[in-house]
Parts: sequence; C-alpha cells; structure tokens
Amino acid sequence: MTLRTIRWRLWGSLAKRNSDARLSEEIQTHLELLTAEHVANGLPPAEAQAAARRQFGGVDFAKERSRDERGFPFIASVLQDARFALRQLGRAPSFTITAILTLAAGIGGTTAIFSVLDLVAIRPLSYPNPDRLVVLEESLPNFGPFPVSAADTEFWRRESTSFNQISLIIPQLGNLTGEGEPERLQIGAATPGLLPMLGARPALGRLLLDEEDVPGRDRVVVLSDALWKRRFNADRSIVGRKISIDGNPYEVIGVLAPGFHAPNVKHLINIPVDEMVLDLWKPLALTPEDRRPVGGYSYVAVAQLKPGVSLPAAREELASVQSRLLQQVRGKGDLKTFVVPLQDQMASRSRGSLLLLLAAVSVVLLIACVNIANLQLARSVARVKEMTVREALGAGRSRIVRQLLVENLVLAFIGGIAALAVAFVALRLIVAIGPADVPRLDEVSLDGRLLGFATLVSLASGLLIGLVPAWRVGRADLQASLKGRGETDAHVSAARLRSMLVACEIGLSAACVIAGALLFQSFAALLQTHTGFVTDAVITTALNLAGPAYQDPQRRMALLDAVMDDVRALPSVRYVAVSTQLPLTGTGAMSATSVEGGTVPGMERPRADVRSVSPDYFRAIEVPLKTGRTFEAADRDRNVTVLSEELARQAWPAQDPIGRRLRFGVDPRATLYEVIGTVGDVRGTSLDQPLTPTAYVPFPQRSQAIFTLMVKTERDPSVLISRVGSIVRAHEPEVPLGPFRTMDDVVDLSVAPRRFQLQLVAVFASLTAVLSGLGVFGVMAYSVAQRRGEIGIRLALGIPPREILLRVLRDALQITAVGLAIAAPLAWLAGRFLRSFLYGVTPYDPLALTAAVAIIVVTALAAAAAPGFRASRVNPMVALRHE
Amino acid sequence: MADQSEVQYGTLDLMVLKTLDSLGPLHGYGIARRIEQVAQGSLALNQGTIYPALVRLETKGWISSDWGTSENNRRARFYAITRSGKKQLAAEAESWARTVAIVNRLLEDHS
Repeated sequence: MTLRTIRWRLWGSLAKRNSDARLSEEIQTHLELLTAEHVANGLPPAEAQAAARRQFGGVDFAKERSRDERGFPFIASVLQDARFALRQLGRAPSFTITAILTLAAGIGGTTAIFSVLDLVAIRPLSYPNPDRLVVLEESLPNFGPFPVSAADTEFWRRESTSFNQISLIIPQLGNLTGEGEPERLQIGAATPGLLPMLGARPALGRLLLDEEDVPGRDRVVVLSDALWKRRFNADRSIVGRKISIDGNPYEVIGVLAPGFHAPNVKHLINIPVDEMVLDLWKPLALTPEDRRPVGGYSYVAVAQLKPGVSLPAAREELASVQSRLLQQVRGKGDLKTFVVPLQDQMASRSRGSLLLLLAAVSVVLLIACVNIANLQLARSVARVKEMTVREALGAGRSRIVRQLLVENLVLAFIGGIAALAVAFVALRLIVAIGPADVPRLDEVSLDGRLLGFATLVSLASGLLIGLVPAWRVGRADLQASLKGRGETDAHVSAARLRSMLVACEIGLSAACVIAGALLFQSFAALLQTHTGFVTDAVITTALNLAGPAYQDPQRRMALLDAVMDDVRALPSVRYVAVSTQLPLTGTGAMSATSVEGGTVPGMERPRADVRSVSPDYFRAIEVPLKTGRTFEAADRDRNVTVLSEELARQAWPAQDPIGRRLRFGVDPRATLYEVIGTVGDVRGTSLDQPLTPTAYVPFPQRSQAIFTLMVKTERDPSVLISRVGSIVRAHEPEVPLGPFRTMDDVVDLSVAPRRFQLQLVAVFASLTAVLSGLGVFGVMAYSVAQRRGEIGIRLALGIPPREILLRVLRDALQITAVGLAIAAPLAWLAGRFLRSFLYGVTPYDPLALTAAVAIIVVTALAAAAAPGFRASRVNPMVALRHE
Repeated sequence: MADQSEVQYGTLDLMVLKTLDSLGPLHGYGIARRIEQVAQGSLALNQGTIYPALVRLETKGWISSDWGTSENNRRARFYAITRSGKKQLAAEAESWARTVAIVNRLLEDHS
C-alpha cells in the first residue's frame, strides 16, 4: 500500500457516510440511464426498469465491494467479526459468564502474583543507579554470610578503589517519649551518605551531614514521612524542635519526602532477624569500642560501585583488599567478603516462593483456558451447521477460522478487563496479609506494566482458547456435514480431541496437587518439629528500658524486679521470667566461645547465641534440664552459665562440661563463666533452621535495655494482658507497651511465610482440581448425551443399568490414567523445583504422591458420577424413539 | 477464493483505463456501455462491478472524478484518466501484450 493509497483509504473510512451517498447517487443515475436506454429501444417502463437492474447486477453487492475498496476492509471485517462475536456470546450467557469468570480469576491471579514478582525481582529498585548498588557481607568457612564489622569497613574504604562509597546501617530501637503515648521506634543509625546514595530527599529541613558522624554531634534525626504524619500530624514546624528518644534530646533536622521507600533492614541481612522498617534516621557515630579490630559483625553495608566497575571486578578487588587486612590483623580466621547486588539481596528470600506461586497460578490459568477451549469445541460441533451455511453463503474458510479466533479474543479481552478488578483486589489482599518476607510491598500498584502484562496474558489466553476449535473447523469437511453424514464424524473426532485435552488438564492439575500435597506435608512436618519448649499458657511482651534513667543496670534491675514481683502476685500466675530473646525470633547475639585453656584459633571456636535469662525462664517454657542445675536467685551476680546440649558438645566434645569455664568472644581478658548445667536444645532462630547452640547467662550479668517479659499462667493467659500492662505503667509510665503475644502466636508468626505460601498453593491446586473435574464432567456428560441411542439399545437388550454406570466411570478413569501418565514427568520437574521449599519430606514422598493421585482420581470419578447415573437411567423407549 | 475474480478485476481495471484514455471523461454508465460495445456481446458484464473498480483506480490515483451533468440532465460523476493513470495503462498494456504473446506461442507449440 502506498502512502497515497493509505491516505485515500483513511479518508474513505472517515468520510464513509458522504461517499456512501455519492455512490448511491451515481448508481441511481446509472440505473436511470440504463432504463432510459431500454425505453428508447421500445420496452415498457416497468420491464425497462427490470432489465436495467438485471444488466447492472446486485446493487448492494456493487456497493459492498466499493466500500471494501475504499476503507480498510480487514479492520472493518474484524470489527464486524467482533460485533458478531458479542452477539454470539450474548446468545449463550451461561457459557459466556462461566468463561469470563474463569478467565478473570486466572488472568487476575496471574497478574497479581506477577506484579509482586516483577517488583521484587525484575523491576529495578527505586533508587538512583540501582544496578550499581550492592550489599557487602563477610563470612567464615563454617558460618555466614553475616553483616560486616565497622573496623573492616574502614579498612575497605581506605584501600579499595571499586566503590564510590560504603555506607553502614545499624538498626536500633528507641523509646519516643514526651509526645503522648510512648512508642518504640525503629531507628536507622547510618553513615550520613547513605540517604543521598539511595536518592532520599528532604521534604522539610535537610538530611544528615557527613561531619555529624562523631559522638557529640550525632544528636540529630531525620524523620520518615510516615512517622512525621503519624506521630507529629505532619507538623511543618517540627524542624528545629527537640524530641526525646530514650530520654535523650534529639534535634529534628529534616523530614524525608514521601516517595522514598527505605529498604526494610531485614531484607538486607542474610540471617533471619525481625522486621525492621525504619521510622527515623540518625548519624552513625562510631566509638572506639565499635571499631575494635575483631568482633562486632553487626553493620549492614550498602555500597555503590564506581561507574564502569563490574561486579566480578569489585568482588575480586575487595577480596584482595581483605587478604591484606587479614595479614595485618591477627585472629580473624578465614574471613571472606561478599559483594551482592542490592536487589538480589532483597529478593533472595522471596523470589523462589513467588516463582512457585506464579507457576501454580499459571497452571490454573492454563487449565481454565483448556476448559474453555473444550467448551468451545463442544459448541463448535453444535455449530457445524452454522459454519456450513456460512461457507455456502460464500464465507471463506479463513474467514470462518478468523471469526472463531476473534470470538475467543473478545471473550479473553472481556475476561482480561474483569481480571484487572480481580488483580486489584488480590494485590490488596497480598499487601494486607502477605508475609513480611516479601520486600517492596509498599510500592505495589496497578500500573501500565501490569496493564500490559494482563493484556498479553489475555491475548495469549484468547489465542489458546480459539486455536483448537479454529484448527478443527479449518480442517473439517463442512460439505460432508451438510449432507448429514459428516456430523457424526465431527462428533467422534471432536470427542477424541476433547478427551485428550481433559487428560492434559488432569496431568497439569495432578502436578499442582502433588506440589500442594508436598508443601502441606512440609508444613505439617514443620509444625511437628521438636521445638524444645512448651508454648502452653505463656504470654510475652517486649519491653525497652533505655534512656539515661536506666543507664545504670542496677536501676534497670530494680525496676524489673519490682515489676516481676507484682506480676507474680497476680492470680493464676505460675512463673514470671525475662529473656533477651524469645525462641523462634531469629538469630540473637552471636558470640564466639573460648574454652578456658583451649587451643582452637579465634574465629574457628564454636559460636553461641548468648541469651540472658532470669531463673524461671526454663520453667516458664519447660526447657528440660539435662545435667547439673539451672539458675537460682543467688546466681544473679555470679559468672555462671547454662549451655544447650549442642553447644556443650561443640565446646567439650565427649566431656562433662559441668564445672568447666569459658569466655564469650575471643578476648583472652574477658570474664570466665562457669558452666553449671546443660539444658535441652531449642529452635532459637526458626523452625526450619537447625538447633541453635545457645549459652544462657543470668539476666543481670549481661542485661540489655530491650528484653521480653514472659508470664506463664494456670489458664488462658490473655486475660492478664491489661493487668500486666498496668503494672508496668504503674512503675514506669514512659515505657512503650509492645504487642502482647502468646508463645503460640510466636510459633505462628515464625511459620507465617510458609503458611501463606502453602495456603496460596493449596487454593491454586484445588482450583486446578475443580477445573479439571469440570472438564471430565463436560466430556462425560457430552458423550452420554451423544450415545443416548446406543445406551438405550444396550438397556433394551438387557444390560443392567449398573454396567452402564460402570462403563462411564471406566471411561473417566481411562482419561484420568492418561492424565496421570502426562503428570509423571511434570511432577518430576515440579519436584526438582520444589526441593528447596520442602522441609522434612523428599519431592517423591510416597504419602504425598498417593494422596495427590487419590484426590485426582476421586475428583474425576465424582465428576463422572452424575453423567454416569444419567446414562444408567436412560429410558430405552424414549431414547430409541428419539433416534 | 479470490483468485478467479482477481484476474477479472485486473482486466476490468485495464479496460476502464483504456476506455477513459481513448474517449476522455465519462460517467460509470458511459464506461460500461463502451466496454460492452467493444466486446460486442462476448463479455457478460454486470455493470455494477465497474464501481468497485472505479473506487480502486481513484484510490490509486490513476483516475480522477468530478461531478457533471449526464445526457438526461442528472448529476453524474465523470471520471478522467490522470497522468499516472496513463503511465500505468502503458505499462499494463505492454505486459498484457507480452502475456498474450507468450500464451499464444505456448498454445501454438502444443496444438
């Protein structure tokens, strides 16, 4: 088509009405001239007119053809197809509604899951130069990767040439007081350069200055937009004001602009820790103690590569810097460095899980499409007559095939629009109940990318649905069907094709159900994991006694003792205890342990999670005593420790640890603690992590400002919440009361990401089972309806109705067997993929496989039962008369 | 489905162009009459089919059209061949002649 032609045609489409009128007038004149000619030749006017019409041919045909020449006939006829498709769909409302709802669920679910995955793993981070941002970590041969030490970072800054800057963050908790209800805030103490590096801008005031990273100048804070709005009612005069954190005055120097999404520190650390969404930022002011050459591996390092420095180059360079460091400073062991792209680090914990969900929901969509294709196939057989007539009227085969494709694209398109609503709701749900393991959920929104994705998926679905019936019509012998004979042929071959499609559905569904069964078993295994403690009737709450009033540990302990005494006096309370960290809440204060007189090199000594507990801790959650004894009141000022069995085994292999002594850390001058007992191992970090080697010390020995109060009661402990709260408040009104959680809640929270994953996969797997069941039902019902006559004859010949029912069930089983054969390789693939998600089961667990196969077979039989019963109740007389 | 009519259309286009070239501006009826005359009854032309051809030729810019008055004093659309239409006619007439010559030679060989 030349440009000129396009312009003319475009004009032709636009000026359609005008040119139609012109053409009508021309033809009218033409007819009159022809008539006049015939009249002149002696014909009477009426005959002359008829002759003229004969000679001219079809007026409408001429107009139609002219119109085709003028506009864009292809587009016009596709639009016509679309209009026709809408009418056709409107004529079969139950089919249309079913199809659209199924598509909406499938496309919407896929879009929602994809949008989360897109945000987590595909879309670049919302920071400047996202591809140059990396996280630095260190590791030891038998441990890590873990956050870095301040001293090491300072060495890298001096020696390494790969980075524009290396920033450190250390998350801290602080009590905000003097502003109404006290609140525990998450504070990011960070290298001042971090915020500009991440593209943060102040909405008010300024950001942190580089020179503010020294003790004394660091009493300044920048508020997050969320905290500013929530706690300070978006007060614009906040800048310059002093707020009190842990009783210390901090000057508010700025408020961050709302568009800044600070990374959740939890996603920057490779070891399981608690949620850390930062409320405000302050300069990280390192003390000489923080800079000690060995130890203190608790800083999250985010760095920006210099332009042009590749990741491998940076890794290599930092490794060589590190080896120089290890030569200079003794006692660090084989400390390796890691350079990980920031986005990979953030996505590492959830990417796999999201891929799994995307795979599951795609299978749902795929099966939904196959189901609709199957229905369309059944309809297309019923519509063979319609197609034949259309072909006889001159529609080309390609035109009929196109009509079918367009019809399904229209269907998918409507489904796609409905899917956007589904995706919107699903995204809201995911954000609301989604597990904290997924980063960047605060950035989720339905945008152009997702519209594009939904459109693509709709298009693919429409083609998928339309291709099968179109392909069949394309090669069917429509002429034969006009003669009446072809119809049965069409039925037979369509029935075979439909059975095959249903078998594929069953195969896909079986793979999905197997995945679901395996995850379910893993979850069950997880919940049955021996935690090492008993959760019954224990309530907990976190307390933070920071600030100048409690700088003195004596005062802190005095307050704590008073609170504990009062709580102990409440009715039905059995034990009151405190601990620096609850079980299943992530890694605690890890420390190397140095056995007295030991010769193992510093960094290779066994590492222990050191937790400070009060005497009743072991009794409150029933951690069993193995040897020796646990703490008593008199131990509070003695340097004694109780070890978990695992730690005792590592520290003194095959020896009785009681009475021996060890230090925490590698400093040979550190205090020696005497082992007085061993207790059972506890899942300290989480259920799916190995047992944590743990050292317990009397709480006052290594007390921390932040700890958890635990109350074990006779009955339901939740009734005590308000009373415990008011006791704490009575002693110290400025303490924020954290959420109260029962130990059951604590266990629950620790498995929440897995539960979420399992629930979604279970929903998807059951959807696939229901959909494939519907597929079986459709095929069997159809085949029974087709074979009514035959069944009637069989019944008339004396075959018992039960036989007929069994035959239908047997047919369904045959399809299912084919489906299961298809499922075998799929399940094998799924198993390989699932391996990393499973806990306590292999991907080929016989119980899970059997259960899944049973579910599939029972679903198929149940789906075939109704058509089977109908077949067995066919009235032979009626059926034969019908024939 | 279109193979057969495509040839017809092409031929018709050529005939229309030639008619306009030799007789000057004509309306649809005039063109149809002329073609029938020349064919001397050997061509059963549905006169209506020249209208799609006219639209097609005009779209391609080979003919132009304007309103005028017919023999019976009715408003009629008069078509005239354009410069590029003449070029096209020359080119097509030549290729037509070549085709005819080839087909003739083929038929002679085999008869």
